[in-house]
Amino acid sequence: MSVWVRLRRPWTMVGIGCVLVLCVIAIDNLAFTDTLMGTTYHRTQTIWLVTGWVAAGVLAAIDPVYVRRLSMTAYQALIVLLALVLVVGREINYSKRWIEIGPMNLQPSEFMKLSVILVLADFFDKRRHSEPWPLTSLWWPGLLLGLPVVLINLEPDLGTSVVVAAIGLSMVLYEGVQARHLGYAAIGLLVLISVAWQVDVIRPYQKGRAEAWYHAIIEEDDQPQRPTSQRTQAEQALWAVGSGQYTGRSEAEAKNSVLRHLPFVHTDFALAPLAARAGLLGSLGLFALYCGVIAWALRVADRAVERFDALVAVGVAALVFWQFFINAGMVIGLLPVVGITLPLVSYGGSSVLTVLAACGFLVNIAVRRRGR
Amino acid sequence: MAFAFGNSHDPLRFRLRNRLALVLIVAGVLTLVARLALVQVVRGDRYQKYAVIERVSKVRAQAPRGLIKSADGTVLARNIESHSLEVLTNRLKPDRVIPLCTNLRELLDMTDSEHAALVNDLSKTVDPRKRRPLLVRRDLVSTHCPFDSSQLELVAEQPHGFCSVCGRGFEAVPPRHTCPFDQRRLTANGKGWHCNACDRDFSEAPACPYDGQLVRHLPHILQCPLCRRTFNDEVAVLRANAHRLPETRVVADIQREYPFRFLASHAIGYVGYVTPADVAPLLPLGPPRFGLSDRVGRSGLESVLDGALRGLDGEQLLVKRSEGEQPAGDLDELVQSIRPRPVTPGLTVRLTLDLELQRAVKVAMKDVFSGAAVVLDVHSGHVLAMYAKPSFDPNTMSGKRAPQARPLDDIAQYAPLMSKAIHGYAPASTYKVVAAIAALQEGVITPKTEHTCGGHYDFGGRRFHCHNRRGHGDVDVFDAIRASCDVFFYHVGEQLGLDRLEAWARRLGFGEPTGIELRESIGRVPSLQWYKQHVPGGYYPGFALSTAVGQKDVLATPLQMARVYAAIANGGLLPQATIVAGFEDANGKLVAPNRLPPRDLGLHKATLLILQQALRAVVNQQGGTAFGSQPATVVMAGKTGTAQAPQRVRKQVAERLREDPAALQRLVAWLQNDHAWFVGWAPYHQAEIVVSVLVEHGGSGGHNAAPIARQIVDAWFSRHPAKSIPPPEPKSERKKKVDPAPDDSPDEASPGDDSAAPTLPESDHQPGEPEPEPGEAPAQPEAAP
Repeated sequence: MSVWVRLRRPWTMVGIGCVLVLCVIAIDNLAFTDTLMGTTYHRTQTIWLVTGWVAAGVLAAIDPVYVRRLSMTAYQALIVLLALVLVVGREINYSKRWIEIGPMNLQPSEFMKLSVILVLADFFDKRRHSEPWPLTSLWWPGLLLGLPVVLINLEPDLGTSVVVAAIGLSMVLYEGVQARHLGYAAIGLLVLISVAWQVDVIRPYQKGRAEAWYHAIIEEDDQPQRPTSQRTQAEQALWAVGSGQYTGRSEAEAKNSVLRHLPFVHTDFALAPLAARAGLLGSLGLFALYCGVIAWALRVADRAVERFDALVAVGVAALVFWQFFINAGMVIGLLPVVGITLPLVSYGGSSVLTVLAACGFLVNIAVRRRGR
Repeated sequence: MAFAFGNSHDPLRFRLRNRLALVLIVAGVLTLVARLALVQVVRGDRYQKYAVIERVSKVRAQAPRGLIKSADGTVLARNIESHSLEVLTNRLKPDRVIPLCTNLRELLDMTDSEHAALVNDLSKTVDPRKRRPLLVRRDLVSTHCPFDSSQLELVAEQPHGFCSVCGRGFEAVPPRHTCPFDQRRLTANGKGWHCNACDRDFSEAPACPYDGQLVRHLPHILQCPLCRRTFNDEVAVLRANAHRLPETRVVADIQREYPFRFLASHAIGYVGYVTPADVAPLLPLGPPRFGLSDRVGRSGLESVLDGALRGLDGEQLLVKRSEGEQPAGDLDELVQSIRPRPVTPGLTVRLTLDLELQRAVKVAMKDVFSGAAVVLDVHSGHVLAMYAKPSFDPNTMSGKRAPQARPLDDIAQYAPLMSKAIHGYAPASTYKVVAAIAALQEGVITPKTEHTCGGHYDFGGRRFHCHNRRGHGDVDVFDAIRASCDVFFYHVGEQLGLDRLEAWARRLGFGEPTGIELRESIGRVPSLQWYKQHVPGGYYPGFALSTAVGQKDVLATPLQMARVYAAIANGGLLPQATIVAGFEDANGKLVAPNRLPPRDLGLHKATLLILQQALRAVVNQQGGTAFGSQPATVVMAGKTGTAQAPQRVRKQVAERLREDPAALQRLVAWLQNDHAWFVGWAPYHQAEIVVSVLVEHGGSGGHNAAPIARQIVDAWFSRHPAKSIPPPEPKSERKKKVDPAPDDSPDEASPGDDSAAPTLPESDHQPGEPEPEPGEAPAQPEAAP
């Protein structure tokens, strides 16, 4: 079967179609937030998206062997960049995440997500294990995963480090861990989090967000009695989302609402204007698009012949799912606020490049390898 | 579970795990969907309402300052609206500074230097978090004249040119070169026409004749009916042009207005803008609750009662809505649920001042350059009138635009801001009652004790003169008071000594606060201790003699004198003076504060009687120093005083008058006059009011102060007929006679021992004649002991 015929398989079409529609939605949403803020982000983002599609095309076309060979080198280079960003990085919003290259600000932590997927997939493909993994044998993937997580958290960027950790752990769980060891790990994680809370490794503003979230969920404290200065971003985002109701607000109505004062409305809170304008129906459509991408990735994993390919596809599914779930949960008040992007829709070159490149690789897997 | 986490070599297990992952993902997405439905559908209505609220902001709600009312409830100080212009620097982008300032200059009469200063202020780079609104102009003209607070009138557009270099305004040249404002002839000063009286320029040239700048024409459509100045309605102009000034706002503010202007300004006082010096002492008590344009009391009752008048500012939460939707009813509910801290308005103060009497006092003192009068209720100590001359207009002091020439500079010598009724002066002969009371109570003299007045008294190698150089002959205490014999009181002072004089003066309320709610001078009661500390040579026994006649180092305020005479009139009860009748509660009912009871001085009946009779004789008997000033309505008793006054020309006045020697000479001549005093009460029986009058450099007490007191008493009793039993004495017909009757028989109403008063050879002391120097002339010999 030729490549083009395989491309026309229904699931591949669904995946590519969903990604394409998400990209269009992203441009439309940015055009709207630009009118709120007086910026021109949608133009910049168009350039990034086109670049991303080109990158995806390249990754879809080349032999995955090259990618696999290069993965470790890329991983090492990104670790160096992550260390470098702590020293020479550009600080935005009290966080050093970006490296300036000419007119662009690149965020190595975003690329690291893909790199971790590739490196872990490579490891698990080479070291096949006949039984579920005991934790003691997982020290090398643990190190591969832990190093970027710690480095990213130092920037500080809790959100991205959580996502990287979630992707890695998802892959490990997919690979299989002894149930008893899994229990130990879960208990250890809980202890670690509570200790971190007590000894101030968790930063005060993060605690504040967690507490605000707790109050919002538990005590329903969402009355607008407090002056603007004391109102949280999360509350305002919630009102904006709620104002969408069934079918959404018109553009003019959405403009004259709390969205006007909502910070990060073009990046981390991009779902808020979308939900306000699209309403419940439109938001469900958006969710369906993400579900389509994730389901496609899982299907690719299912059909993959090579272990490496399957694991990469699982990793990509985890990447899209966790970013989508955490981001959407945070905007609609289900989770505390952390700084991560909505895949493809939020403004940001590195994020979009990473996700599109990952999707390109999925196409590569889906098209080139013979499925069962 | 085991299969789920088993090794994934087995394709079957891999597939199962894949399914499991799919299930978990679907569960996660369904959670999201459930939450989304809750937020958008279940709570959608509510969140939609919140979402259209653009902003909830906390603002300070200024408490209105309490009113000040007279005894009958007439408002003496009230609040009117004023406006100020602020630039919101946090909204101002750097490239908008110049256009904004240009627009402001076009709309307001802003000079080039003001414009440059504003540009400079706005161009400063300030940390965005520390940006505060910048105050551009206070008291924008809108409804009231910024100079005298009169209500402005809308008039046809007046031509008014404005030079942006020198800031001069030019009116159109009037026909016949007569100033349309005060009808004076204009003078041509080579540049244009000028009114010297009101300091206005008239020109129709397109350029300013002073510096050649092109004159800009501002439409003036408001005119002050009082000062005839014309104005632009600045608030209306700024509001109409708000679209050109998006970074500014016009802030409504409360301004103080005093409708009776000069009438009671010393008692009421005025307010001024709050300064860092006002805030600094309050800082230890917590963050100060002052706004940028708050006013605080600066003098008088406004200052003393500032805390009560100011009230407590509240907090208000403003909900700003977007333009899109206005679900008003629901939002109103929201606003109400916010529960701001309510405003506590300042308390309204009711004074004891009687406005009619105050006016009468003002009229009575119309010919006086400088002086004070105070009228008390004899029993309660309520201040019925308190006036000082020259007065000032508190409206011009209350932080409004300063007039071009400060009118107070012209009368600086007369200390217009000084509240003279509560300022210490040498009380002179009015103080003799203190010596008389002390001597009678201590038993140093009896009503029959006589001393011979030969016109002077030699003591300690110095000669102390009587004001009557020819002497009064043999006088007892009655005659000594009636004729104001100094020699009699030199004897008394010598016998009493300074210690007993001091003790009695303190008992009679000198050297202590009178109880009035104003910042008063407590005067000075000289003592041995005081002389040791303050006089280079220390105490010299002759000082007691001068003290007995109220000269030398004694200082008493007109109010303190009034209290003593009130005590004599009411039977020996020294009342606490008060000017605040009370505060009004929410229903306008008067709540009077608790007050100290009058002090019982423990005076013997005989002491009181002889003093009362003697003081009546001063006014009503031939030979009395105030004979000729009997009121038409009731019988008045009192005492004159003529005090040597300091002849100091104020430094700033001397500098001002350096180029005008004639005016300086007039001033020096005026200063050579003595201070004139009169303190008395009426009616003689069943006294009601006590009047204390001081005329600075007025001449003699009998001729210059007593007639004022008479007018005041007449004004009061023509409105409030006296309750006293005896009708006005028939003698009053003769009171206007200038020629002295050779022998005036004691009046019928006086008790029997009154007849003991001998007819003294003082017929030469005529009312028409200037009263000679009283008291101890020996100021010079004493100065060089």
